[in-house]
Amino acid sequence: MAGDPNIFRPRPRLRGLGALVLAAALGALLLSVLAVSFFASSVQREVDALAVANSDTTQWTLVQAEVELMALLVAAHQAHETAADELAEVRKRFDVLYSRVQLIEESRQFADLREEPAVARNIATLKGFLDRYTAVVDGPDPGLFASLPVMVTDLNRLRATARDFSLLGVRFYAEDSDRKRTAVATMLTRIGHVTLALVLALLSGIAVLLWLYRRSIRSERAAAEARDRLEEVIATSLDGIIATDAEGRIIEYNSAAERLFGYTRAEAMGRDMGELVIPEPMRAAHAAGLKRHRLSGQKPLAGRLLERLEAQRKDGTKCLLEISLSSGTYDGKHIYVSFLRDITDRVAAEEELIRTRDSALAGERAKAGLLAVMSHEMRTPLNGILGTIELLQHTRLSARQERLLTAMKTSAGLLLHHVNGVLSMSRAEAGQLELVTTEIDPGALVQELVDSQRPAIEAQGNRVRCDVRTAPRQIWGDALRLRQVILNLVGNANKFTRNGEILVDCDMIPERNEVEFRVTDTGIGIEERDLDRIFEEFRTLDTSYSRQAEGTGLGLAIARRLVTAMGGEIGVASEPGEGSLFWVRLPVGAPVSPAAGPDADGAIRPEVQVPALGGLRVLLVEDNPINRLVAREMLHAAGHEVVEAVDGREGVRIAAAERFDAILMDISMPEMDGVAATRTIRGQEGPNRAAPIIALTAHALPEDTGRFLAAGITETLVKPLSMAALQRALTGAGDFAAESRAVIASTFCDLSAKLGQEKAARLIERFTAEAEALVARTMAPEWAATPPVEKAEAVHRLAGSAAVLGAGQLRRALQDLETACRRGDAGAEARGLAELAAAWTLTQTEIRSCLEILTRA
Amino acid sequence: MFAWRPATAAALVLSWIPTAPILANGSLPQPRGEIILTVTGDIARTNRGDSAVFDLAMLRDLGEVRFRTSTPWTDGVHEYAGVSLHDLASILGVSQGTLTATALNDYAAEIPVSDAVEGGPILAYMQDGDEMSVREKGPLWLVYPYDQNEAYQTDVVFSRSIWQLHQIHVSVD
Repeated sequence: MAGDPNIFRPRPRLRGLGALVLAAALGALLLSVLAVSFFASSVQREVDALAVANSDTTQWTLVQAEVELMALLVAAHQAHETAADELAEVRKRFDVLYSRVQLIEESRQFADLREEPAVARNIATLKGFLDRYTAVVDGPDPGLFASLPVMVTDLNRLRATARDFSLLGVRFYAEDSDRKRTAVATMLTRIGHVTLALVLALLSGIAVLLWLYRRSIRSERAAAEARDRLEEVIATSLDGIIATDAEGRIIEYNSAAERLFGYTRAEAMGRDMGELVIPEPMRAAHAAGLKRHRLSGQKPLAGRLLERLEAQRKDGTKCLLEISLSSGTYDGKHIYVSFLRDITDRVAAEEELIRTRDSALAGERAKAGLLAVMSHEMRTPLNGILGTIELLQHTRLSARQERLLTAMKTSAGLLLHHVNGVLSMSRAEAGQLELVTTEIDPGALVQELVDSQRPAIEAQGNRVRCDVRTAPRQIWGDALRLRQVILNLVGNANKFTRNGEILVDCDMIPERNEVEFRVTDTGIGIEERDLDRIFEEFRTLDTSYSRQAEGTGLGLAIARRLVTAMGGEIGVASEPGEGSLFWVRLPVGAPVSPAAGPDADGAIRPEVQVPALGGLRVLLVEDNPINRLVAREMLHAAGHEVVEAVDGREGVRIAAAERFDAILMDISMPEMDGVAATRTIRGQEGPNRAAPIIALTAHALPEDTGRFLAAGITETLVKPLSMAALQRALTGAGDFAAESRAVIASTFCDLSAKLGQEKAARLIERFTAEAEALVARTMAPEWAATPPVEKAEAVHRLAGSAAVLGAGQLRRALQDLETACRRGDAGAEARGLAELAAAWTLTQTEIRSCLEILTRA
Repeated sequence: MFAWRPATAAALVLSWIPTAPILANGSLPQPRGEIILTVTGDIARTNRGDSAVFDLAMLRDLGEVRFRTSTPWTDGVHEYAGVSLHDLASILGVSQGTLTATALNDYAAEIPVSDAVEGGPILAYMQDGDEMSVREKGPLWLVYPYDQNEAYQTDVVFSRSIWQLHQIHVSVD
């Protein structure tokens, strides 16, 4: 409403109607006035004519003709009676009469009268007399004197004519004047009518004016009300409102604007808005924008233009405004209305909030970073402690020493467990959680887990029960993670229960297609207000908890993260003093193509006792002296021969010179790390190009495993090193698969680098197809009938490809077969074929798994 | 501003007198031809008894004024020449009162002296360059410049337009 520029516009439709009515009234008035003035001027003429006709001089002239005729008669009579010297008087009177008749004959005044036939005859008679006597009158006296008696006679006869003349005139002018009088009367009647019309027109004009006046009063009142309303809106608006004309001069300025800028209304009105409130550096841009808008003749701004603007107050301080601009037309001119809101505080608050958030985030990151670094750094010495303890256990010890060492090992193991917890927490935090989906039998998993925990639980005086009768037969998920979660819940239940019972059960929720695991205890329970908090990080509820059970408080937080990552939910119901029920719901999931998923976390892997192998020559590359000592001692204990290198560079150098059965390679080393060293060993021509390389690392993230594999690392061991893990790895050291896989991976990486991953993959596929074709051919009945040379050549071609790809075992099998074929040794060929079939089966598997991992990485 | 005194008024009147030959010796000359106008009454100058008499030559000597006009009594526009009534009144020292003009046919009209102004009526003795006979409303006709001044197109003025004029009597009210 306040921003609607229509308020300022008059209503054109009504105004047009009013103008029309007014124009019509004025037109009628004008017509009446014209008519009246026309008739009035006619009347004026008629009246003038009447006045002339009635003029006494006219009548007098006519009568005078008779008088002057009589005067001539008298003069002639007297002259005849008395003496000749009176003739001058006769002549004078004759001339006067003459002039009179001539006047009547010529004067305009008598033009109408002369038209009368009787008058014309009289004039002719008089004129005839005058013409007859002119010569005599102008002649000598005696002649005139002699004519006088005849003249007197003629004049006496003419008296009647002159009299008639006057009377005719009188009658004529009377009639004429009657006629004119009638005409004037008619005219006056018409004037009367027209005047009446004029009066009516005037009255209707007045009525129209009155109506217009009333309407304008009404609309003025309405406009005033609208204006008042608008003014009130403007005055009470919390936003500053400034209206300017097209040149930017202020024409409206409300009290909010006064408060905003510090200028009073009186100071602001008429000033240039740009100069008043726009800070100097931005003034030119403001003016240019205004000018551009004006020159382009743009229509009023559609809707509003909302933007932020820095403005300047009267006292020179700056403030940040949110300006919403609209334009309209007022009095036929463009005006711009700005609605201004001071957002300085808001923006400051926003910035403060952003700063707070950023610093909080930075703190979080720092915390996570610290945790990751600390846990990593702590694992290195822990490796030393645990390794050393293990070594110590293999020495001769007294019973007491044995007990102390066991305690020490337990403590160190617990510490490692916490460190691992923190590490996996920070990894999960960093989104580094990678799930490996496999088929799981939930019942078996729960049963196995409960069985393994039973001794620990019973040690607390608790009983444990497992109910998996209604559990689904199979689900798909990350077995390791699931086990970790349930283990954590069971461990928690055991922690907070004394002489109670723990129940673990599992069943299906068919309508949700979810499986639910429940761990119920009869422990101390949890206060309701704490229920939501227990899944938060580093949360140990209160001092009593701390006394009863120790922990980082990370267990449940990790559990929740894991469950969430698996697409499930975790929750708890509890009654203090009665016990708690933790539940985990997971989607049943779907089978996925089995992948050679690396085991990221070796800590929970069930350890399988591997018989000692012994007798291998092992290169140990490790920069940390303690770790080196531990590894060396373990290798010695297992009966292996150990050559040590203190960094990657030395390791590469030694590996280039001597052949080893296996290389133990620490990953994080200064200068040249394990990955680079491995890549170098694999890349150079040397005795260890195909040797198994076992990586030792404190951190084994899934993507790292791919990277290690790509570099040519055969297997990865996560610290702390244990005898068992080491032995297992070394058992495979001579194993073909590891070697093959490593070499294939390395070759594939080389090819990828040179040709691009896609091309390399195609190359390997082609090789696979070739190999398959050959193997199929050797198995076909036709093979026996094939000439030996042809057999040898076919085998030789594939041997070349195998060499290029680095599939050593396959190549060796092919070479053996080729030799047998060339020699024609049937027994050797049969053995060679069997060897080839076995080698190919293995190689094929390795290639497939390599490709899968590598293309995924 | 000076005070209005009769002497001053007289001086003003005298100063208006035109420098015509007739005034060389300060008095009216004697007519040598036929007398066509006789002025009587309250006049400052005379040349025969109490009257001032004029022949045509004397009137011509008073200065001639010409104009063209139509009249109600004639057909078309004619040129009239004569002495202006204003000049005549000035010569005779007439500045106020009434002139009673009489014609040969005994028609008479009263003319206020106030009519005798410059650009006003003349005593016409010629029409279109010809002297006017009695038969042609001569020898003198008091003609106003009707066409030049609409104020002269009234019946009162028409009634004062006396022809065959031969006598004027001046009376001071």
